[in-house]
Order: sequence, then C-alpha cells, then structure tokens
Amino acid sequence: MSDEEKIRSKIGTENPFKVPEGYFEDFQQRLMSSLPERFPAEKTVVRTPLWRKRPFWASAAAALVGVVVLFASLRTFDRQEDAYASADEGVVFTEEEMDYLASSVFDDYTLYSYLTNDE
Amino acid sequence: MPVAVNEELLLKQLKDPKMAQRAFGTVVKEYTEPLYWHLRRMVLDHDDANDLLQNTFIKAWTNFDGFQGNSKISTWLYRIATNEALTFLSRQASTDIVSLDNDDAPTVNLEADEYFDGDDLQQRFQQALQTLPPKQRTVFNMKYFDEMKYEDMSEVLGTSVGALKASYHLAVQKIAAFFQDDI
Repeated sequence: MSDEEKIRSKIGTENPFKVPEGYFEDFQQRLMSSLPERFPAEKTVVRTPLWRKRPFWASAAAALVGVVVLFASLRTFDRQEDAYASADEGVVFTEEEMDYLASSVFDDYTLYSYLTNDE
Repeated sequence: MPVAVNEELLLKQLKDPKMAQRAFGTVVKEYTEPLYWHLRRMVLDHDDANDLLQNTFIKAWTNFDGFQGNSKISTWLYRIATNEALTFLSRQASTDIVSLDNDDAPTVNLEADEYFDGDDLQQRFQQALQTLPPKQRTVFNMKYFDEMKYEDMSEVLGTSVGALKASYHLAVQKIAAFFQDDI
C-alpha cells in the first residue's frame, strides 16, 4: 500500500470545515451588489458654444482691443473735424462767388488757384 | 474543477457591457463554493477565506479585459485565488516572525474555531498540512481533495507537471511520516 493510499484509508477526504448558515447565498448577493463599475459610463456629446470654450483672458484681451480701437477712431474723427474747421477759417465766399462756384466746373488745379488767389 | 456551461458564450457576454454583470453572476454562482473551499483549506480561518474569496472575484471582475481567453475561466479564477492566498500566507508568515521575536506567536487553534467540525485525527491532519510550505500544501490540497489533473494544476500554478508530481509525492511522504505511528 502506498503512502497516499494509507492516508486516504485512515483519514479520508471528509471536509471538517463548516460555514455560517446561508453563507454562500449571502456572499453571492453581497458581492454582486458591491461590484465596482467596470465599463466607463457612456458619455453624451454636448456641444459647447465657442464663446464658452474661449478662455477668460482671450475675452478680456478682445474687449480691451475693442475699447482701444473705439478711442482711436473717435480721436481720428475729432482731428478730421478740426482739420476741416481750420481749413475753412479765413475763407469767406461772397454770394457771387458761391453762385459762380456752383455754376462752374473746375478741375482741382483751377479751384486751388481760385481759392489761393488774394485778389 | 467545475466546468461552466457554454464557456464561449459566457466569455462573449462578459465582454458585453450590457450583459457582463449578469454573466458574471453566473460565474460567481458556479465558482463560489469550489473557490471558497480551495481558499479555506489554505488559510483555515473562515473570515480570511471569505476576504480572499471576495478579493478574488473583485479582481477577476475588474481585470476581465486583461483575460485573453487562452485558458478556461475556472483556471484563471483558481490562479487569482491561489495567488491571493499565497500572498496572504506570506504576509502572515512575516508577521509571525515579528511576533516570534515578541514571544507571542499565533498558533493554529482549530479547537476554538466554531466553524471546524473535525475530530482529533482531522485536527492532527490539519496540523500536519501546516508543516508543508504553502505552495506544496496547495499542490497537495488540489490533488488530494480536489483531484485536479496535473495539467490543470500546471496552468494554475505556472509550474511544470514533473515538478508538481515531485512536489505532491514529497508532500505525501511528509504527511505519512507525521502519522508514522497511526497509519
């Protein structure tokens, strides 16, 4: 008789261990209810408007540029007004001259000569 | 080792997000008992076996995507469970060494275990098994109690069939020597 046969005949393979009542059923329920999420949740694609994607500093920079352009435009406009006003100073047309100007066709040179003529 | 019904279908379902949890329920139902007894024989204590069984299933569930399907689900589960138990025993052994220094070594006391129902001979048998190194004890348990084929054991333990046969033979000799006067 081999050693294994001796052990089997003397001790056998009986299981001397026990488990608490209903252990296997409880275990399965507990395990299944505590399983971690294996698959990542499906993501719904939400399109974010571009203005929401733009970072704050970009919006602030754009606003600043807008303000600078606005002020620059107003300044340029004021300068042009001043230029026109100063160009008009000292040039007073008589009624006859106005009629003449209105009824005549000048080229730029003739008009310039007329306006600069002191006589 | 129990064989799951239609393993190929089960594998397919386990990879399908809509069916995976239900399919895993089938796996748990099929393998809870055999894996529990496998673990219990290794660690003896019910609470420890319970914790290790839970870890085994949680690891199987979370790492299922890494399962290539090259082996049977049962082999894969036994491998995870065995690794869990061996790691636990190794950690326990290192704690025992520290405890030995403190003259406070815990001993296997099955008499006080309310979930142990064996007689004196069974208790001595368990003590004899505890004298085997953990991996050799695993080999002995799988062959002696579960009557697992060496080829399946080889897949679970990652050891050659020849080495397993030698290990089992040696374990049997040691147990027989332990009971020299009785058998």
